[in-house]
Amino acid sequence: MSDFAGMDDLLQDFLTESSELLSDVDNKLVELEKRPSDKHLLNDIFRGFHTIKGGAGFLNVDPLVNLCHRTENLFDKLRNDELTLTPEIMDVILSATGVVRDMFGYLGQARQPAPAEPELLASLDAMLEGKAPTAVAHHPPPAAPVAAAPVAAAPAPMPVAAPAMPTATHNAANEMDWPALYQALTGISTQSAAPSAPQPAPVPVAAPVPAARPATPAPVAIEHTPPPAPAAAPLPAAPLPAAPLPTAAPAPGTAEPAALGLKPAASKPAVSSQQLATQETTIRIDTVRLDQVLNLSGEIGLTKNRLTTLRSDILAGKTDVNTLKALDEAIGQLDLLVSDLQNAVMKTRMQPIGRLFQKYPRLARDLARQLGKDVELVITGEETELDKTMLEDLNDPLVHLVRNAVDHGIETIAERTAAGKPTKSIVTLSATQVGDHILIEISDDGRGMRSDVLRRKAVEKGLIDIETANSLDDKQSLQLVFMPGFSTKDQISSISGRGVGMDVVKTNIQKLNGRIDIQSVVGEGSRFTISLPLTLAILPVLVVKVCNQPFAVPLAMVREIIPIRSEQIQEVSGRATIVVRDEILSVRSLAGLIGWEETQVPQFGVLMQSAEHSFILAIDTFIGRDDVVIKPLQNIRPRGIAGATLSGDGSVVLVLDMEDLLGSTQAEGSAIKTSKFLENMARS
Amino acid sequence: MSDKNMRFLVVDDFSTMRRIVRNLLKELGFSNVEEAEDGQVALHKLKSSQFDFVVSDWNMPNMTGIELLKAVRADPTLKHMPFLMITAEAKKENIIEAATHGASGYIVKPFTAATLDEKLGKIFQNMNK
Repeated sequence: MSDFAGMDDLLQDFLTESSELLSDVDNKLVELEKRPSDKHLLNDIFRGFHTIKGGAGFLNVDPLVNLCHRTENLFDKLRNDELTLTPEIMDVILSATGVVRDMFGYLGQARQPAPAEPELLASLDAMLEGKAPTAVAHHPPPAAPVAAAPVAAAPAPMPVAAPAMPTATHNAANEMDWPALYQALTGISTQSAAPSAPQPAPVPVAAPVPAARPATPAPVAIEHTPPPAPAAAPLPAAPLPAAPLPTAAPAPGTAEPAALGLKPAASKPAVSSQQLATQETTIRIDTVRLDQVLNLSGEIGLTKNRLTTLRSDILAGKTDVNTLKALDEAIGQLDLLVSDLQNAVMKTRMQPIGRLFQKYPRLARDLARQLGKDVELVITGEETELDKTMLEDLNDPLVHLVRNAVDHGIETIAERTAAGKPTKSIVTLSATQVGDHILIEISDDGRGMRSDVLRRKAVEKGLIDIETANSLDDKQSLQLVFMPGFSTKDQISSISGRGVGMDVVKTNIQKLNGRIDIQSVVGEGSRFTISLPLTLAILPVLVVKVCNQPFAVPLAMVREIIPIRSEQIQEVSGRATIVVRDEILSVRSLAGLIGWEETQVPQFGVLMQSAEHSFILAIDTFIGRDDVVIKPLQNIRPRGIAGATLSGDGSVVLVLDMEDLLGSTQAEGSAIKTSKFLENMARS
Repeated sequence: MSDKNMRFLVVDDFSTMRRIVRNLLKELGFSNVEEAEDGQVALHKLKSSQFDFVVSDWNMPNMTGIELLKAVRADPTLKHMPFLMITAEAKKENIIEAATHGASGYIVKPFTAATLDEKLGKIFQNMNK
């Protein structure tokens, strides 16, 4: 049941925009701890709460309005030096920010949030009144004139002293007799406030407006204007040849509400209910990028016309060198344009990763404070762009990794001092684009991971046996943290250490066709590297052939291609294997995996690196690499098939889902799938 | 009576708010509405094309509503532009400041279409006197 019937659309807009604002506020708060008296920061944060309050008011979310109002007032005092920021005030502000975020969570489910804890509101109030033990000694007079100028930057002195205004005292703003107030303030009757400059044409809009202030000294105020548009240089107060706009002429008469055809105030806004849209499917795109798409599709149209003409020529028997050359050129151009268009379309889905990263400094800060550590999260490469859907799916893994770094990676201050390290530790979160991949790194300068400890833990938890543990080298031992159920914390803390994290992190990254690697040096720190393809929409694949049927294998999993020679194949515990550079890899025949009868001895092996293990996929031959767009299969879902795509010659190529293919065969029992050819080869 | 084709400029840095105001104006029958995200952009738009009415938020980055109001009143071509100031504060000082700088009206958030209509009505009334 929605508490916001008829306003869903507006609510979603509000949430999207306000959440961005709040993340921004969060980061500015972290900044503010470093520069507590920075007026710009204080102003920006003030405005953030102010804006959220304004929007919440229209949505009738009173709890949010109440909370934001108090926080905003607090910042108003802070920026006007009526209060000094103390760690205590900061804590209250941060918890208020947290509550605001929680309220967004409720609103996201179209539910009216509960009011903020009375204690929180009370402590905000206490700080506002300067009652908190931390407030500054001098109490400025309440509601000082400063409050009248929300933005302290207004340079011009106010011409009228506020207290001299008697009419303003009696009424709330809503019932204010505006013309009377104006008259009282300026001494100019609204009726007589005739324009000073002679108006040649009857421009009704420019007729006596109560607010027209002929006395305003133009040159002074113009100093505040931004560089004027070239076309609109401010004219001196000369007679204006104002072109009378027919459309702008209001009919004379009074503006009676009834005459306007108004709905009664109680009626719900009919507009918003008509605009229901699914929100997850919307995206903000820079118009420049859209224009680029438009331009390219236009150019492709032109090239198509050229090809049509050439086709007519060729069909008419004109096949001289020049025609063919022109055809070649046109196709070459089309090729270029199409790949440009693909890129341009892809770009419309790209969002800066900073949008994700900006949530983390606050996260790291809060956690560090809770743990009594001094941690700074340094972020670089926030302008790096990534496909929007991937961005969303990356959040959970990154949150986990940042928390892990602060909780597990970084030592306590005492430990750091003992180890001769600076007490302040740095966690770095960076993103860079390398070729067609995005690299995200989270590194800390903490204690690092000890492979012997990892192995011991894994054995203790019964994840691996001692024999396996002893066979693992340091690098392999690090991979143990990705095993389900692995956790090095002996006690479960509220922060991390439930052992439900790293395996999920890895699975999530793999779902994005990505990889995660660990490097760690004991005593110096750990580094997690996530490598992701730029987008999920276009998949680079290796096209292989089995039984004369082409299949596409995701290139991300392919390490190398090797020829298979029968003398290389050895049987190890009933399975065909090949030793590649001292690594024993099992050989799985693709035909066997998909349940086909092989027609020939596999010639090549594709060395695949999948999530859990590496193996060799035996194939007949391969065609090459290609970039494909996967089309999902409708209604049928064959085992191990992710979808289909068209190859260059127009034939259908099935794209394999290796995880699915391997998973299902493992479920059926691992031994049966070795092909007869491989078995024979292994035995010979 | 007012002309439903009047061209409004809604100035607010928060796009949700611009949309709310736009919707309210539409409810009142005014659908000729343009938007600007701060005072600077608004001033540029006002100078480069014809508008009949400005509805502006007070608190904005780059150029506030009051600064915009001052600039509008100082510009010979714009100084008679009806200017409705929106703010979240019903504080006396704010109202006085808006009035001294020549705002045609003042409306406190949140408001309904009816309130907006009343404010607009008053302004139109004064315009036609």
